[in-house]
Amino acid sequence: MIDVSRLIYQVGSFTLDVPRFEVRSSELHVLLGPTGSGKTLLLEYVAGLLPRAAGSITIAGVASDGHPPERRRISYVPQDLALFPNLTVEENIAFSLRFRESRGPAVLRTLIDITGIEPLLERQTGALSGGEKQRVALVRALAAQPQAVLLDEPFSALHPSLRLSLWELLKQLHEEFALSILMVSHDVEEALALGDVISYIDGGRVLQTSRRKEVYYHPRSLSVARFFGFRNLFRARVGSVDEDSLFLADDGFGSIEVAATHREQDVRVGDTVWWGVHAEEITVVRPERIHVPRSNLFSGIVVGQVDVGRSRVARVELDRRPGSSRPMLELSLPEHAARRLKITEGHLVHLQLKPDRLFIIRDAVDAEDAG
Amino acid sequence: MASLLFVAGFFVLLLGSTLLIADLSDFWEILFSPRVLYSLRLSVITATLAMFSALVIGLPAAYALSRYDFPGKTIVDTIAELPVILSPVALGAVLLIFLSSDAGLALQEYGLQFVFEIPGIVLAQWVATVGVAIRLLKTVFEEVSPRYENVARTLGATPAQALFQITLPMAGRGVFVTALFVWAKALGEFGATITVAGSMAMKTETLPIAISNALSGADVDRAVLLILVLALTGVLVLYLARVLVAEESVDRR
Repeated sequence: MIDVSRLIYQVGSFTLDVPRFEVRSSELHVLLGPTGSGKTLLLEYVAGLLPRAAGSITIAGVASDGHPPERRRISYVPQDLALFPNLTVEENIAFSLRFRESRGPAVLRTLIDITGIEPLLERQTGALSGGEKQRVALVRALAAQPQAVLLDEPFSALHPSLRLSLWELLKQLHEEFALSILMVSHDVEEALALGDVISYIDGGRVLQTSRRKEVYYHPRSLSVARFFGFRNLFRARVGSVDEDSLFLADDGFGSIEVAATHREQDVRVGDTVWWGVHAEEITVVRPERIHVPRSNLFSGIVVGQVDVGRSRVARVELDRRPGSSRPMLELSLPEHAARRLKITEGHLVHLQLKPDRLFIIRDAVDAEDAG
Repeated sequence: MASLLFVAGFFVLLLGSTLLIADLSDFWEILFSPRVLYSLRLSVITATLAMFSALVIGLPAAYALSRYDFPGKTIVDTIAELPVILSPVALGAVLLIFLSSDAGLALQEYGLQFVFEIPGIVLAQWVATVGVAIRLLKTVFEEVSPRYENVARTLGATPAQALFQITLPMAGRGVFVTALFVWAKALGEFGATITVAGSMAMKTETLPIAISNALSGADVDRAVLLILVLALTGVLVLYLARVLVAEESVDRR
């Protein structure tokens, strides 16, 4: 649907450099990244709002380089929504019908029904609540019957409960109209909740593009892993490789088995890699069951814990291996499970790192990695 | 707040003091004399024309300055302020010298007569106000985020449509206030006007020029009356306009 290639755009000392970026038809693509990573610029480029950027873009099969925004049929909802304050809600959502012949009114009717903004139509936009404004902005964008919709952090300023209902609404609209959506977000949870595809962007470069949650479970670079809040990141050497598994030689942990997925296959024996595991993906094994043979089983003492509302984050210092420092693992459990498993300071716990929950990051993949 | 009251009170006292000195026994007679009525009408009409001309040039210029970067922008921006820096008489003199040049004469031959004529008044008032108009309008446009136009364009509007249907209406209040200010400044303009258009009674004698004429004829009563007329006209129009805008913005809520 949207195909960007060889995009280079420079603002001051910042360079947006995207060799290739694609949003497929009917895909909800989340562009995830920290503040100042260039995600909004990429959105503006797609919308046609960066006329001086070098690059080439195809929209729905049409080479659109140099096409002004009004010719692209791509709706854009900026972060502040930019509802026109001089127009009523009704005039706002019907704005595109002034310029585009279409079956607009019928679509508009459907949109009004789905989003439930009927009672707002006569109002001035300044008198709307945050959630109402979001709905109106979405309807206005969709009423133009765009080929794709660009959303810039649309839900970032909303109360969590309201956000959830708007996520649902967006998903519903996405399915109903088979929309192609490119949405910018800095919120991991939002990206995981909404994205069919998630691209991670940082420092003006798209570092990873993956389907659904893969970017979360298999980050391919350290900056992605760190953005997702990984604390369990370790360095190790690849000891051996067979069809199903990689075995890493880690100074602190000893041997670590990692399930070989398609991604890890090009790793060679002797390579130095990073490996890691999400704090929520660590399995706590009850003492009576530690005799069942399993790989990557470790024991350690809980040395600290933080109560973070409904879950608990515990730090576990593993048993020392001769000639190495004690490795530290961070694990996160729902509060009730932590209580049941007696995860309290000073307690001995047994942890398993399931091979299919581990990921590895090869060195030097950070730079060139847009996929 | 207190300082505002002080300033307002000071002006009222100042105007009031003139009443003590002047003998206004034939107030109505002078007020409705053809000469004063002519000056009043001339002033209002020329100030209005000057205001619209200043907007016609000022709006696009200010919009360009607020939206686009181009080489020499700062220089252009500064030059546009020249009328604010130059004293009005100097400005009028520059205009007069230009109009006496070959180009100026040709312009008057085939276009409008300016020197000692009514169009000269409008020209002088326009030159004296257009710089301020651009300055104020630029601020007005800068307060409307370009994002509104961007969104309008993704919804199918051309740049012109986005400007006329979104940005200008959004800037409407600011443009209106600027227009009022420019009008008031043009109404009181003296130096440039008298230099270009002279001070002929029943021809180019605007209210400020009439005041000057009355003073130089040592006719204090007349001068005071004209001052009151000028002040009341200006204050009345500005006040009415403010009330209208206030009502409109209440309606919008």
